[in-house]
Amino acid sequence: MKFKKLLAVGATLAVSAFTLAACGSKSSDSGKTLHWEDNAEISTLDPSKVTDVVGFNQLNNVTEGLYRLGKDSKITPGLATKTTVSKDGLTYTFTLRKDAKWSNGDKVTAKDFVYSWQRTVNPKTGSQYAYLFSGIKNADAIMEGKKSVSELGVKADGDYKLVVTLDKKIPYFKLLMGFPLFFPQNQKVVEKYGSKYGTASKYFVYDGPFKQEGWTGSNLSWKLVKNDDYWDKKAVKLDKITYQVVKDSNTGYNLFQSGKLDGALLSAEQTKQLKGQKNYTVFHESTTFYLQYNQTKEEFKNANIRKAISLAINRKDYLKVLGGENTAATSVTPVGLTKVNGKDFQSIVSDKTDMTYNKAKAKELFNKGLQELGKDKLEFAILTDDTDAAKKSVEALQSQLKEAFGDKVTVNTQTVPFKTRLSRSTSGDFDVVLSAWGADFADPISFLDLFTSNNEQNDGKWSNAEYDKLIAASKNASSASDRWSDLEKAEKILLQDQGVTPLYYRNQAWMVNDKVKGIIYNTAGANLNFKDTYIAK
Amino acid sequence: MRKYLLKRVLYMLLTLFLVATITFFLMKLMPGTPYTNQAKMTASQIEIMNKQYGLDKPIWEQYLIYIFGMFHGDFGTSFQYSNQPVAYLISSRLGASMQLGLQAMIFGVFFGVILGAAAAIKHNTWADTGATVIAIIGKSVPNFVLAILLQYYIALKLGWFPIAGWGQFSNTILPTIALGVGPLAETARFIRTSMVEVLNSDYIELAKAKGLSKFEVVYHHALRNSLIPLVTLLGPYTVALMTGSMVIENVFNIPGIGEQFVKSIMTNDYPTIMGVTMVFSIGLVVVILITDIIYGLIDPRIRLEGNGGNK
Amino acid sequence: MEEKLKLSPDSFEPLAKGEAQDNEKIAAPSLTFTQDVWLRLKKNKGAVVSLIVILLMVIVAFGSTPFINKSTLVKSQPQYANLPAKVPGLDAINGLNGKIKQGGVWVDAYAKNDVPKDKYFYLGTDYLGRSLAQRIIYGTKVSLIVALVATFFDLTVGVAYGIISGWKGGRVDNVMQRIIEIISSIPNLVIVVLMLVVLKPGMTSIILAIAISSWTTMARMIRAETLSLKTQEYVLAARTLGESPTKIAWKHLVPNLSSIIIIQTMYTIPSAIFFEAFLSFIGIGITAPETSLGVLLNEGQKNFQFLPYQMWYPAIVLCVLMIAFNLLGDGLRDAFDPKTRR
Repeated sequence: MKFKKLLAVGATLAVSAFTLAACGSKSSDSGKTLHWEDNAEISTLDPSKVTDVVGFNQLNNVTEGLYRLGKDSKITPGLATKTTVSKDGLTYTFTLRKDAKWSNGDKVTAKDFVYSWQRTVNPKTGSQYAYLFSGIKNADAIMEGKKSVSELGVKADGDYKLVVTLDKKIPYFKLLMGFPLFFPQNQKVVEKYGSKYGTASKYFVYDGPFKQEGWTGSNLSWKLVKNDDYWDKKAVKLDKITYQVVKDSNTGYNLFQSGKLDGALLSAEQTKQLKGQKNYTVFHESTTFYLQYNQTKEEFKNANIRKAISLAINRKDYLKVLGGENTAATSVTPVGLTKVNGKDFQSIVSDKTDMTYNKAKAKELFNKGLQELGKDKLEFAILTDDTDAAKKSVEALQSQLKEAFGDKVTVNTQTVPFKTRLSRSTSGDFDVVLSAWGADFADPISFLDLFTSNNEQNDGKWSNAEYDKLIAASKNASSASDRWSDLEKAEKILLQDQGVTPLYYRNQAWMVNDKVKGIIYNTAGANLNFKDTYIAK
Repeated sequence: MRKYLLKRVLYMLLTLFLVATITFFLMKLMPGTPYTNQAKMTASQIEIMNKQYGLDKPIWEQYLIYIFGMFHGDFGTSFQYSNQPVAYLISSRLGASMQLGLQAMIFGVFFGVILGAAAAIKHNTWADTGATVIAIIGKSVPNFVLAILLQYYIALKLGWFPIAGWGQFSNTILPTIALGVGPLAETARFIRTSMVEVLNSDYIELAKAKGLSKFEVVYHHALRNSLIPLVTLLGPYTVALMTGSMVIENVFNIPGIGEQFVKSIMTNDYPTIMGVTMVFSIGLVVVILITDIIYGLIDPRIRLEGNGGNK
Repeated sequence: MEEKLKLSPDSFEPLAKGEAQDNEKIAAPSLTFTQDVWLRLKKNKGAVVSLIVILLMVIVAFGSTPFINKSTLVKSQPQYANLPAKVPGLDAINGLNGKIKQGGVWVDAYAKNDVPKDKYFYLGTDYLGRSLAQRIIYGTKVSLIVALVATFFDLTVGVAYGIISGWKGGRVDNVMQRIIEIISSIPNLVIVVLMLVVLKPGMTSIILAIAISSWTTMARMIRAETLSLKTQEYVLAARTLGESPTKIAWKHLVPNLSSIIIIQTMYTIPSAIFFEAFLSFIGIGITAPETSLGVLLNEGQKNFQFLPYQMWYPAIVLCVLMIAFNLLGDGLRDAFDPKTRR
């Protein structure tokens, strides 16, 4: 009678599961807990090794450096109480607060900064973001293994004074100090955990507003709890932030609807449907999507062809296809990146003549270009990766270009995995490639550096002597206004020549519970800062 | 028997070794680098990193290092999760997938057998047709579609089960159903066919003639004999289920290995791809061996010495 | 009383030539195996309906080629985006009259978007304003092509491999079985990704990847059956008569294997369609502007909460197709192997 028994057991199991589940849902929130989602796992907490937004966001909330970036990337006090800059702008002296502590009880001292920075630039550490140190004295040489790490231009003068020397002026240096890569690390802890450092909550030490708990290195949920050792703990209003990795946007929205999440990232399709509804929130990102032309090829060396392509793209319709909360680009530097004398840098350089849909002019330029090339037809392929947005993008571009130039153009699409796209771009194995760049810090140079002739990320090999000169000049400009004018001129040259064709700025659409207030979302670098966040009654 | 086992285990090791070798060299064909932030790295940095990961060495040397490491249970370090040993990543993720796979299998086999047996006993009646249609629909609806429907209607609209997450038993129910419908359909169809065949055989007639109750006839004679071939069918299926289903794991936020595997492929995380592939292969060959042995034990007609063929 | 047989001498006269055979005459016309199968299949209503459904789908999908091609698929009409189904004459049925449920209320999406009154989309439109009906037909075609090509590999490679392995036996068989074991131990996904890398992403590489990984089951089953067939008397007879192995395989093995082959094929087709759908779902399937049922499902599920019809229609088509293939497969199995059908 085993079979019968089995049946009975099965039936009981099914029934009990049902009842268990039915009374399983509980809601005991004290009103001080935030439920948040991330769309990918944490890959590491080690500040020297973090490469993704998820990791930077975590670090931004569980650790702290010299400054903390507030709203609109404004510098707010962190561990530095006083900063003095030498006249030539090459030496920074930071005075640190004395009441800052690590969660293991150690004091946060200037030595922790020195250790952290040396560790990051040390080529043996394998930091993929170390390039941001470029400009600090000897950093480049150390990264290439030509000098020892002790020669890095950062010194501790006693426990609470940090002196940084630079090779050249870095106008955005203070902004960098708000980026987790430049946060201190506790040498004792790093050495104690060795290769395990940063691979789980328990193998890390915290000096930020929150401490992380429950991340095992590979799981999908963890939480941040208020850090009682934090120097400014009075300002921290949340007790707890629970995190859940949500990979499917339907799931995220379902969880949001049932009140299990206070914030959910929306997909392009959901955005279209939920736009304008209650709780709908847009977070701006400093990421621009643009086309790079392979200018080692004759046809793309021709500026008229490039301009014609730009003019043939109806960015408004194109974004309709793409969905989501993206905005049409009229410049390389995105909206909201930085302000110059109260004016958005983007609005200063914005080039509407070369980037507004104009079919007639596009045709004219295209024919002119073809004539110059001595051809009567143009065939090329647009390379892109296999993400959803990228696929839709090339589809739309293909049909728009076809419509504008008719039989004179044949546009093929090449969709390859993301990594393949990157390696093909770098090796120049493409005609036109759809690229994206996100700023690491809120300064236009983060973008404009890319298109100088010798930059390794200049995949299309666009080259303009005047542009190179202006970018170089901006780095040695004697005053801020000179620097801005150099950058402005440079970007205008880039846009007028259509060295690259910007398509759109990417933004994120979220559903965020309207009771949650005080979320700071910055466009560049580490985006989310929950220090001041609270939940209204 | 012992000789046979020894031979089989040796073949198994050979197979695994070949799989490891083939995947290793296939990996090397994949383009691109494993670095997440490649776009922002300089060539000299990449060079240093390659040295760190041993990617600058000649391929045969990398191969030897890999094979020797594997013998010590060392699958290397993940590229994607810095400093995370692949062995740890797999072991911490495999648990959820195995639990889910096993549950789905139990669910599928349990209800599949009931459905299949019911269909066979009520052969050529509306019950039979109904069971067949249920089984076919179960087999025809992609499980990702089913997962989305279950989540939306049962979890969100009716609120019977949690929408997503992992940790409590209630979390596992919807994914188990979504994943278990496939084996359910398969089992039901299989049981129905083989039971119809068995029920028509002479020994069943004999059993009936002896005056055994209907239940005893069905359970002792018909069902038991039908279950034997099911073992071979379900063995590899179980491995496939237990090594994770990326889609189900994504929809229900389950920290499983399937999702990890797809992600490692997308990010060129070679050590993880290789590690998961090896775990999958080991599971498969072991299960095939076990089912062969069980088969031999249950059914004396099967000769374990293998089929040499008569030349 | 004794009863005597009254036998007259003419009882011992031989019968006329024609009469004798009457006893052994088979009343029904003699049937070939194929005819027999066809007869039995015809009796299975489910299988017949399935066959008709499949034929209809094939005709519609492939017959649409002159009307629905890549250029119709590329053309987008954003002004008609995301419209629900509207069928002339069905004004009363919500969901088929251009209305869609938004926040619990049925709203006329056509009127809201200022779509001309005489514009009808029988199955609605997708996010680019392309007719969903057209896309589903085209997607069905692509899915069928994928399935048929995969089946072709199954038939050629799988059958040949299985027969050779089973026929030769011994060491050859052993090596060939190891190879199968290895191939089935490498996850399909790895094979697909590598194919996508080596070849151009698109249909060819997906079909090839499915083909490479799908023939092993067929080969295994054929091998097992060949093993038992080769000890059969008629094969032994053929061997002793000195027939060449190729001829034996072709004349004796293949016909006797046909039932397994056909049944297995019927299972390969749906699993190929399924696998393609799965690949599209995780984003490495067919690339635009091509589409397949998998791609359509994937696009639809993203919008499922707001525009459920975009997932339902392709899902229904896929289900009908799968059910039809499965039922036909079952029917064929029963027809080939009458034992199971009693």
